[in-house]
Amino acid sequence: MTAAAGTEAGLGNLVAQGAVLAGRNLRHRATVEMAVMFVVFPLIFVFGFLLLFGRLFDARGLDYGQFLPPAIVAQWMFTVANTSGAASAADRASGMYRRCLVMPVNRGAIALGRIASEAVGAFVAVVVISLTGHLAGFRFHGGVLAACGFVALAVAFALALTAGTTAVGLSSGDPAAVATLLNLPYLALIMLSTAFVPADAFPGWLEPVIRNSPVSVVIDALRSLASASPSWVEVRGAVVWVAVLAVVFGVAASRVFRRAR
Amino acid sequence: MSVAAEAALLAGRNTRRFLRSPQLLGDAVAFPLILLLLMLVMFGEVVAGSTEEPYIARLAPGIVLFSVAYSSAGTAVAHHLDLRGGLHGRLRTMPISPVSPLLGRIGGDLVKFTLVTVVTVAVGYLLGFRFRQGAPAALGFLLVALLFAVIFLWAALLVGASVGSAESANTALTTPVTLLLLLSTCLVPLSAFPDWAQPVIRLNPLSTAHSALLGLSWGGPVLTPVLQTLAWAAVSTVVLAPLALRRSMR
Repeated sequence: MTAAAGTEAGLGNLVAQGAVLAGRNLRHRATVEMAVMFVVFPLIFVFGFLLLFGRLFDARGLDYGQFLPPAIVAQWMFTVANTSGAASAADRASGMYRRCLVMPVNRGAIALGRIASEAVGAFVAVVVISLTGHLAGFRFHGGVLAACGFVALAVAFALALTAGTTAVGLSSGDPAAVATLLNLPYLALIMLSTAFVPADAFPGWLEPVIRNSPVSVVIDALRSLASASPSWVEVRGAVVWVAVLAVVFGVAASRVFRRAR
Repeated sequence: MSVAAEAALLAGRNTRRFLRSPQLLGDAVAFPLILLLLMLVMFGEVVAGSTEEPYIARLAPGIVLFSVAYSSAGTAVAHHLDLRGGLHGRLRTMPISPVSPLLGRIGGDLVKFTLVTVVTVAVGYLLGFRFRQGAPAALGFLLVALLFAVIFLWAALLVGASVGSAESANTALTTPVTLLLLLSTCLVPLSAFPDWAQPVIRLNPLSTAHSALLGLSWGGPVLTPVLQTLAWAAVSTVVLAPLALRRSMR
């Protein structure tokens, strides 16, 4: 079996085959609909929410144009992860996943391909929203390093979530059901966070829950990284949360990954 | 059979399919309730300061309208599946009017929206929503909600007959409807919007219907917003209905 091993084992094959599968995942995603979504979605959400709440929050002394875009970034990281979960389910339903398993393809390359393509998708999304936000008055006040940290934290958040949605997608294999199933926790988590409304605007009894939700912690860290004086304590909290999510979801995903056929 | 009887028969079929599917039933009823509770805790404190009515008085009618508009996506998907699944082909070989299947779809959905409105209002009552204008106004509330539904139902039938897949029927409606919700008076009062945007926000069908529902429950102007909503429904019927019919016949 040296011939087979020669085509699938080793770091070189892992990277090369991972790149091929990442390219395939991205091409699958590169439809006109997706392109339209990439332009329309940030415009709708950045300017929609700004029109809706700009005046109300300005009256409370909150610069909503600076407050909102990090939330839209986090919201889109959820969208990246949920779309990816449905795509994993579709790969199982169509037989693509099984085909990769019977061919001399490095197992790790399947996971690497998924991670790489979602990282690219998340990165493009962060850039697009930051640019759209710029039109609405959003600025990186903390310098280049903090801005890079902003992008890195957002992409890491998307990848940690993707591990979870991949576990769901691969264990179900029904893309439509997966999309519906993932929508509910997404809606509840994003709405019950500091995404659109600061924590002190929630009812008092709910405030501790809102403040400590991992989604709030990540969004507040993103805001901090875009501010003039980034708080490393906040960023560290978000990094810990993302790491915990990545480990928990990663373990779940790799267990499903080994068992799925 | 008359068109009305044919449409009623098909509406009955659609309603039974809906009532017998726990998933469809759960989606239709649970979605508005979750949204109502989430948005109440999210926005209640922020908006309450700027209006005279309690936030639930504004939010409950808003959620009724949004769930009606949002579930037009379900209508589009169902219509698409009827066309693709061959039901329409089969109906066309029968001696019935070509309009009946479309009217049947609309009739069935109006039954569904009545249920959604009643459940949302009932939960709203627990949270402080009240009809302060009497029983006839409460009935008017339901009728305006159904009139509003007609605007989006014709659009849904057109989309369902035009798109290539059930998936795109869904996204083609949910995104614009979400935008319409954000740019309406369902969540915040008109005065919260920038001055230049207010004329557009005011004419959004969700805003006109919302003003009417607010007038019929909490209190306020009724006649003008009802007429505006009626105009939207008339325009939608005149423009979109013939297109929806023609697309569905192909």
